[in-house]
Amino acid sequence: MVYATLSEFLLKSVVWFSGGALALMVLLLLEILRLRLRLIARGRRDQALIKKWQPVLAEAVGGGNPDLPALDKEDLLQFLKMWNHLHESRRGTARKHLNILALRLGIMPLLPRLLHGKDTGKKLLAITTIGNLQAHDEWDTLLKICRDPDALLSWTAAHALFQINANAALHDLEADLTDRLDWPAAHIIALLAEAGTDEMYTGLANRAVEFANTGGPQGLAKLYRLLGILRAAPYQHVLPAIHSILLQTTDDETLAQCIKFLREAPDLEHVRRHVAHLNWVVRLQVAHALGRFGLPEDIPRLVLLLSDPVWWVRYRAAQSLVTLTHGDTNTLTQLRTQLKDKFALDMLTMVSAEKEKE
Amino acid sequence: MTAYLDAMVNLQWFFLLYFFIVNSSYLMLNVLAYIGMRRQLGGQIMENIPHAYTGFMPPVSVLVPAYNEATTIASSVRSQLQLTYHEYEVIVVNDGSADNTMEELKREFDLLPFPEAYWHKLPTQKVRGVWRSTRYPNLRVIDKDNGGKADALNAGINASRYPLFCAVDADSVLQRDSLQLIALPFVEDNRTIAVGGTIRVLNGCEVSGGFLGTVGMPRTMLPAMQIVEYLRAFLFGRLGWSELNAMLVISGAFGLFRKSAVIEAGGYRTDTVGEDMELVMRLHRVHRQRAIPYRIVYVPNPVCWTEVPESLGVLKNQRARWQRGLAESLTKNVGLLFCVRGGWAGWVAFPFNVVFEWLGPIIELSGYAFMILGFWYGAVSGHVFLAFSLVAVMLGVLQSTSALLLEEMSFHLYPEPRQVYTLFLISVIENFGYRQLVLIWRMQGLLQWMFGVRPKWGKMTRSGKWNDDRS
Repeated sequence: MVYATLSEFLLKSVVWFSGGALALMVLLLLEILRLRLRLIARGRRDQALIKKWQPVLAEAVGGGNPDLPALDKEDLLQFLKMWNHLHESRRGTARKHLNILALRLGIMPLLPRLLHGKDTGKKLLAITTIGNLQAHDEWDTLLKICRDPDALLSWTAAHALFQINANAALHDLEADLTDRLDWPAAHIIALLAEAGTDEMYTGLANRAVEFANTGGPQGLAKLYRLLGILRAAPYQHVLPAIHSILLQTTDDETLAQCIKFLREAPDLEHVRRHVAHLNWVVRLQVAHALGRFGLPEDIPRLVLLLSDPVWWVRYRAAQSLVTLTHGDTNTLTQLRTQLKDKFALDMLTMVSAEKEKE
Repeated sequence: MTAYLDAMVNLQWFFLLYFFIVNSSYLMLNVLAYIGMRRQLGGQIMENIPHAYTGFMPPVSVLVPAYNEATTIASSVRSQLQLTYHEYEVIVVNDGSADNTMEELKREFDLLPFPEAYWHKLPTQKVRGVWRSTRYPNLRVIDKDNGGKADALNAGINASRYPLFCAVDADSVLQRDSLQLIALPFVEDNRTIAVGGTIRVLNGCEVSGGFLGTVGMPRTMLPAMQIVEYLRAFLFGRLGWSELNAMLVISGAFGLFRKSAVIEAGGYRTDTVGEDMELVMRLHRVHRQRAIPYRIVYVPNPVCWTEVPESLGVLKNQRARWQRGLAESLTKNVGLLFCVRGGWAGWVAFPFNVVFEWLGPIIELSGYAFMILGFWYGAVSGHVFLAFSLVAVMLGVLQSTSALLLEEMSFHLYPEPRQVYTLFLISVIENFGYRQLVLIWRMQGLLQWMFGVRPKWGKMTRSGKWNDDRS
């Protein structure tokens, strides 16, 4: 009896389950069909859009004053993509001409709707457009978005603010640039280079000194990233901060990162004193630095590093030796004959062969 | 008799419960995959806009382990040499091939011996020599004694110069921008240690000059069924787990890794056939146990096309090998299971893989056997038998349809509407025999693992029909 009841129960459940699965499957199929039809329609519309707007945009980029066709509401997103793509592929006056075209078309009043909506994609497009237009109207909204936990959204907003007014953006966002570890260093370097005001690096270099003083895992994580960013900065703006950090740091990674900055003879002593440092990361940077601005008397130090237990230190030492000897075959052959360590000899042979192939 | 009936009832409940949990889990993964896909599509609107940071992406070493790949190696390496990426090197590791893979490479790329100061970071079989191309300065070939795929990859890691390495199968064809796309998570989050891309089926497509020309459907049923399987595995399987930072597999055919993290974890293990899966599980385990923040991510858009088996025999060996690899990976990393800081990976993904993927074939085949025998002996009524069969098929098709929808939402790699209909049709047909056959092969793999079969390179017969460059 139990068995019969259970069978009935199972049967009913399974039939309902199958019905549900079938209904869901039909829904998914309809959705696939809808998406495919939309894709086909969008493809046709995009073709028409390109045909209509490409000549207009091309004329505008060249400085002309083209007659503007009406921008259909449903074409706005595609048009903005096209416009932004063109904008970011050009430099100088072409960008100004594109901005004039966008203003003539009345793009700006259409953007807040996209900016305040829920669709992240549309929001991103609106932010990028505002940044490219250098429109100040939405400054506060963009600043608010900069504090959004979404890294892509907040970063795009920060980028737009820098495009609108680099100095004001740096003032408002200095702490975010150094503290938000989810903003990739590579993006920040590109942004600062684009903003083009060297003075801003001084403030960032001072933040690096603060982080070095604070220490701790968080402080050091921020410091490493910031030092990576500052390597793209003009040398003279960051050197005082680097000297200050070099003198006080007890952290090997920080020391190694600071040595990367050095490139002038007065700093050679900072480098030479770490030739026998216990951490290979530091010795690696020493080998690199001696190749960058070492003197002929540093050759014995590099020969010493050529026998380092770590491959990378040997590799960099060999590269630096080739640089310091200006790739002179006789000197290098002479050096090779003096080497007793097989690893050192192999490495120097490999790097010499690499140089020959270049 | 009562005891027999009780046992039957209990078994029915057990299989029903298993069926319910496995399908609910897949449903949850689907939901997560939709969320992930929507997020990714949100950012996709910006894809065509040039990024200023492209030049700041970390340099990458592309590692191509090759064993008896003479048919496809030149085409594959050529495709890898034409990737759009600012700084990368290609290292082909010839793992003691018995055919003329090495000669093919020397001839196609004008290789000359190079006095490489080879660095033994990870132990490997003896390296016979390092060769460098005179035509492509960023191409090197490591010629070594045979030691298996994992050993070849370790040799590649030893020879690599860059902080990230991309493991690629020698029979794979990458899309030109795939390296750029797969490297993006490393730029966006420095906790990223590994990224997996999407693998798609190459059979039926046309490749010319090392690149994919036309996306097509295979003419035979077996590879076509694998298209649906790959869509399911990648688009909702991996994307769903990736949302939870709990993806336990990155396909050996295409994955990007932070070299330092891999070396720290000990490199690829040579005593397993599932070295790709084992490595990813170990990375999870090591980082979780040492409380090191990390991310292992799946990104659906970088696509790598690979040839799948066209014969039942080759497919059977492949699936048995995968199952053996899974068993080895799980048992070697059992420390991840319910470990204190295990997170989603240790508390959900790992047990899920144990119950539904590792032991799945035993339970599912027992379920089939139970239903058939029960029906035969009259313990399961004809209605129940039919209803269960129906729901199993329905849910199978539903999973595949859901993967098709994700594909349609995102990449539309199959441009012809006819191709989509065909894929849907296949997702229905595969439930009548193919899925059951795969279950049996997986079971065989499980048995091979239990009886300890020695690992070796997966023997895969390449048709290379897609390769226009051969003619």
